[in-house]
Amino acid sequence: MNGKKVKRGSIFHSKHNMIKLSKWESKKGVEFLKKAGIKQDQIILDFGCNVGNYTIPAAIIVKEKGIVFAIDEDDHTFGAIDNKAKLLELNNIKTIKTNGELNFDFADIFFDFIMLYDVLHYLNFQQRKILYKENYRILRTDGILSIHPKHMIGNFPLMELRNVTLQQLIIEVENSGFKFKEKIFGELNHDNHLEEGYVINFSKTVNC
Amino acid sequence: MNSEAYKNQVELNRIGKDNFFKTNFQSPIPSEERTKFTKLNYFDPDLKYRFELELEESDHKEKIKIEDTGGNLRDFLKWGKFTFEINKQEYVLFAYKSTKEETRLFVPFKDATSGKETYGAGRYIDLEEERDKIENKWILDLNFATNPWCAYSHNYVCPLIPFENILQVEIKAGEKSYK
Ligand SMILES: C[S@@+](CC[C@H](N)C(=O)[O-])C[C@H]1O[C@@H](n2cnc3c(N)ncnc32)[C@H](O)[C@@H]1O
Repeated sequence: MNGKKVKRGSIFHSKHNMIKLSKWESKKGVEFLKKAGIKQDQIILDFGCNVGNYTIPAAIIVKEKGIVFAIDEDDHTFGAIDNKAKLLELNNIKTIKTNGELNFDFADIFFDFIMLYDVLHYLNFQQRKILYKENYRILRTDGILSIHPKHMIGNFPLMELRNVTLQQLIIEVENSGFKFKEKIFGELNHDNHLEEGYVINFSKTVNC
Repeated sequence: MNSEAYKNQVELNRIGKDNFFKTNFQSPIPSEERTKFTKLNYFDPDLKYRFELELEESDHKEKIKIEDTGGNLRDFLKWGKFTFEINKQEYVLFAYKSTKEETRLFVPFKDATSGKETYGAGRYIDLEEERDKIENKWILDLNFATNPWCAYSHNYVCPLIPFENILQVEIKAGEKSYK
């Protein structure tokens, strides 16, 4: 993996504190991700996985022939993912610690489904463009790019998406060769608490 | 070290930590409590609890299991021990790593304030080589002792304190009970 190096970890948490497996992860999260388009046997990328709130339900759906690659630049949470996976006897999660780079060592058209859940607000416009382009490269032709957009106008804390509306976000993703497909509503996990929300799904347009 | 400068340094760290707990998405404070949350409780910074120590590294890094509050047994390596004095009495704390490759030392402990002014299940210190080691000495500063996150929310599981790290002395430094 190559590219930028940004350190964002915090000095205030000990990696030995592990978040518990929540009921949402093994039940409602599974239902939601099925509705969002994840299917058995698929190859999934969870970019910015943190404690694995979406990694776990995705791994439950894809079962043992599928795999979830869970990437984060902050690996203090990987123990929690391992622990939850052990409890559920899941052997199909591969955690990868990066240095924040946006280009990956994955082959072209490798993934069936890419999750960018509650993570885009960490990246400025140029970085987001690099990430979309890279996602386009590694996503299968019939794959889905799924985004949980948070921390846009009016949603504290405001970071790199503070001035971006949903419509603008859709346009910037579409400008990288994707086509907006649908909005999927449901009970979502945001920062370990549950709220009604939605993700937006994109498919690849051909010839881009 | 000048005690006023030291106090400021500790207090600055505490302001940063309170801010993290109030606003960061990784905060262990349940979201419904965060609007009310202002700050954590601490003993006043006291240089008497700050030590610069050599770690007496174990020749053979014994593999041990530490139970956590969820009943799981977690693997640790007993990496070495720190010996220090409080009120002219010698005490020992063991430091652990979860893997050989790890650069952090984990120093969980209980003391005579546990269950009274401080959290009953003990407190933790994480030492980071880059930040807490000067040449061959580690800075073991008990003013930075923190509560396990189980102290704030039922959503966490945290390692319990190994018997060998229970100190028979009051450590009136670091974080106090949350509520
Ligand atoms: C708010 S959390 C979202 C976690 C998870 N996707 C969810 O929705 O519950 C964002 C995570 O993205 C990670 N992150 C931010 N920028 C990143 C980057 N450039 N590369 C890898 N991880 C990144 C952060 O470390 C953090 O763990």
